[in-house]
Amino acid sequence: MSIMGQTLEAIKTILAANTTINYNFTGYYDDFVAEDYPAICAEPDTGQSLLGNGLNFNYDDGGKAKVYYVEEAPENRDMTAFIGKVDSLVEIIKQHPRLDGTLNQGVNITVKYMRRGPSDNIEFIAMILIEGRNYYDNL
Amino acid sequence: MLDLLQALESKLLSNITALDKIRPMTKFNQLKPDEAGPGFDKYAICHEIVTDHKYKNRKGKFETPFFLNCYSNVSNGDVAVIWFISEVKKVLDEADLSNANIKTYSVEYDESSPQPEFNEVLQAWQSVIKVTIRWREL
Repeated sequence: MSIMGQTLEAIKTILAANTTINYNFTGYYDDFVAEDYPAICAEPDTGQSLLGNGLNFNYDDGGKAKVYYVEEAPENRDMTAFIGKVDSLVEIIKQHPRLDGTLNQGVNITVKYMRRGPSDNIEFIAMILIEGRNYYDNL
Repeated sequence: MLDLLQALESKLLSNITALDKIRPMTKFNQLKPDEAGPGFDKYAICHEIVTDHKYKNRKGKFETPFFLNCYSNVSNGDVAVIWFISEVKKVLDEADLSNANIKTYSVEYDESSPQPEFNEVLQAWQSVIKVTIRWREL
């Protein structure tokens, strides 16, 4: 199964259902251009599968994905509202700890506020790194 | 590109009432006071495309820096041109030039040379501003 595709879709669906996202993109952040704000860029990172044969045959899927949340920066560059918004996005993900069953063993969420690079427009960028595992038994 | 130039020109003309003429560098001669015409009245801009390259390696998206040569031929033109470039900066920096034909992602003031210089050809004081525009055609 493609855990990466399902995980990215699940994250995008959960966020879109619980907050306003006006532009969605799946792909590398290096190629990402926000056509509207707020925007989300879901970037695949690492997918892994672990097969084990113990008493029962089971396996683990692991996934790591980066979700970039991008908003237009105001003229005074004050980040207070933006930080609040990113915190609320993390809360939304926490309300769906299994990410719609794609990472049913729980997830690890890391947020990193990025300084905009030379190729970015006048915007605030937060990278939400999501890592998790999916466990199957008796398959 | 023509649509972008038009959007740039109309943005400046509609927001700076003192601006008399805005021309591309190829039509610089139209600003000269000679037999063909009176030149310009008080304030003018000549825009110049510096380069044009792909933005974020995406087809159809561009990053284009411009030089805006700002001129003033009023009596204290050296001081007036300093005021004039600050007006241009105010209008263009972080502006949105999007219209039915183009979309701009970013219009950013990069740098300028605020020290006025006298332009012998136009008999006017001049100063240069550089702005970078990221855009695509619709």
